Amino acid sequence: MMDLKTLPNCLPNEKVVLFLRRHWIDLLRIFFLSGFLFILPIIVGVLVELGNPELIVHAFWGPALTVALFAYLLIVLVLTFTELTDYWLDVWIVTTERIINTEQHGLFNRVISEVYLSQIQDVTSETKGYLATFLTFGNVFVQTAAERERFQFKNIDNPDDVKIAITGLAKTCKTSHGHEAHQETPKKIAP
Amino acid sequence: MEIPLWIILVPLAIVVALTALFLFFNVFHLARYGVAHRGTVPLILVYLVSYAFVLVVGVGALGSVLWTRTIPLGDLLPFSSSRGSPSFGL
Repeated sequence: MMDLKTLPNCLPNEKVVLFLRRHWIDLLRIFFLSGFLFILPIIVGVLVELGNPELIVHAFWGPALTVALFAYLLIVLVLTFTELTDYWLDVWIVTTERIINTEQHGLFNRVISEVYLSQIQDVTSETKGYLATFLTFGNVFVQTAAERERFQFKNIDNPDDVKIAITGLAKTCKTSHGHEAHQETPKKIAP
Repeated sequence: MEIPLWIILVPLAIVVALTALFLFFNVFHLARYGVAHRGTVPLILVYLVSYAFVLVVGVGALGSVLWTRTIPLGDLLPFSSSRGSPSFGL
């Protein structure tokens, strides 16, 4: 397990400032979907019982339906676990020196990237939709000087506060390290 | 011609094996890549306990069935022997 006190490639005096996960609404979505999939066999069972009660006590179809229900519950349970693992392993760690982005896409696809605060050019927060506005969750985009895609914090709680915190930390970092130490200086093109 | 009832346990065994494998991958990912933070170890325990619970309840439900029995192929259609063809009120 990754320990927050001993991050990989930890710099001297580096401290964790923010530890972020996706908003709990994503967790609620997983539980709602799984809950529906778990109660679905009960609905189907009642319909089968009403439509054809002989099927449940049939010598072959009775055990076959029990086996199918058992297999279905195991599959739904493991799919729920996979979604929960995906949620749990999506983390964003903001330290006094850098941002570490860890994203899990399914079970066998994992992306870890990091950006130094001194490289940050622009931080944007985005809150889209009724639910996001009401529950104050949204995205934060961090743009660096390098030609790479924007760093994205997906569906985090209080994106505006996070944006302010990152902007403040980047400013402090740039001041303490000298101006834009990690940034490439643009080359002059001869006329 | 008759088929043994235990034949329907074969796909179940495959599903149990595959879900156990995916459970292992989930637990492995949490243990290997998760952040040492409150909640990670309890989550692993929830995975293991809930999977074991479903497994025990399922095996218990299937335990009462006599799996060595054979079923004639003609009896697989539940209405074939007990009911005649529909008359549609004629």
